[in-house]
Amino acid sequence: MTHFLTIPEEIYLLGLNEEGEPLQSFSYRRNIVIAGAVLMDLALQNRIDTDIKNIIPDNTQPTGDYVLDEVLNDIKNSGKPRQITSWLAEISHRVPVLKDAILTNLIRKGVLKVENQQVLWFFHKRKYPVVEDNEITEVMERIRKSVFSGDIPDFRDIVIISLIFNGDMLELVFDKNEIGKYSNRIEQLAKMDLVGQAVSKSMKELTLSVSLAMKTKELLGIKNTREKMDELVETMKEKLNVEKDEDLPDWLQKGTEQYKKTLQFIEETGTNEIIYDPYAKKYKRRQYGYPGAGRNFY
Amino acid sequence: MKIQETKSNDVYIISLSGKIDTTNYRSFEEKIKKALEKESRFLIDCTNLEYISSAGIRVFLMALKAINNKNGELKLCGLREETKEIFDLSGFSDFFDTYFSQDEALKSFS
Repeated sequence: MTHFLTIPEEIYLLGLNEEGEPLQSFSYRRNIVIAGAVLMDLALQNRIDTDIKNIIPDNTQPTGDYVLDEVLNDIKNSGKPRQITSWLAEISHRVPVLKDAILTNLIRKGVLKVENQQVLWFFHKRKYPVVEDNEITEVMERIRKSVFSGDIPDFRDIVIISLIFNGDMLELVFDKNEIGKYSNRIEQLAKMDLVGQAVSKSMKELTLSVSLAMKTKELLGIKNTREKMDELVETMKEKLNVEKDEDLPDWLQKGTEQYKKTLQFIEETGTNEIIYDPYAKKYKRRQYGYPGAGRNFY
Repeated sequence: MKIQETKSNDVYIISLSGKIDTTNYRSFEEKIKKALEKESRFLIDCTNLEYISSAGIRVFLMALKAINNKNGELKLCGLREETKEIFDLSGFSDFFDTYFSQDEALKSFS
């Protein structure tokens, strides 16, 4: 039986708001969950098989879907069984690229449309609002019915339930009361797919590695560009004895073109130990004990 | 994989040997579907079933769904440690009545 949307497309749609923008709360989980969705769709189409640990290549004929076939090709070329979590990690790194193909398919199928919008004065944003929400509604209603009914669902719905449960996305389909009331049923159904269980394991590993990375950053005092900029602004406010942002020079004032260039310079040099020469219109690394030969560099 | 079909009273017994995976699950599926046309009480004997993958598990699920729709019965017996592990891990054990032996299972049918 063929379906209008692939499982990655259904999962991707569930993770959008009405404007067609990816929900921020879903962003860090999206890659692993979509990777799981690709594997599950391939399994349901009998291109791969799974057991407790491994993905096993099987019928490697193309499915006709670019996203699924890209991954199928990799699995085919590997030639031998490999752990589900290993494939999830590999595919999740490719999701940012595969996502474009998912979007293209959804646009081609008439589920999303393209809109160019000028969001802020310095960049355009492309949005993909939902054309009509029939497909999203259909997926959600199907999943909800599967959980509420108590019957044994179709396996396709089981894999989606498994993905949204193990990917921590239940709130996209159910409200809090429903999640509480049907938690046992949801867990029971979610267990029934082994790829979904591997998604859960990968999610836990991802959460742990993100926490560790943040903790490491904190311990080592590593800051990102934005944090360095904020630190520079605070330092200069003190130096210049300025309280309000609007009293800062352009290169330190948020929203100005020069502020954007300051961010860029920090990004390129990796340091916020910089000054801006408004006369030469150049940024320089700060040299301690050398304020600038009499000129005001601030 | 080998599939043996017998009947005891009005319980249709399917005995599986070997492995069920994506290469052969269809023959198992076809047997079940054909049997479903006439039968409503099934026992799947897994005593000699050495390995089952997700493809095989899905056939069990399909069978259970179809049999429930007919208000029939489906039971399992003889699950080995290896196959029981995948049934337990996937929670399928919650959906099936499982028994140690064929005799024990046959006695349990209403």
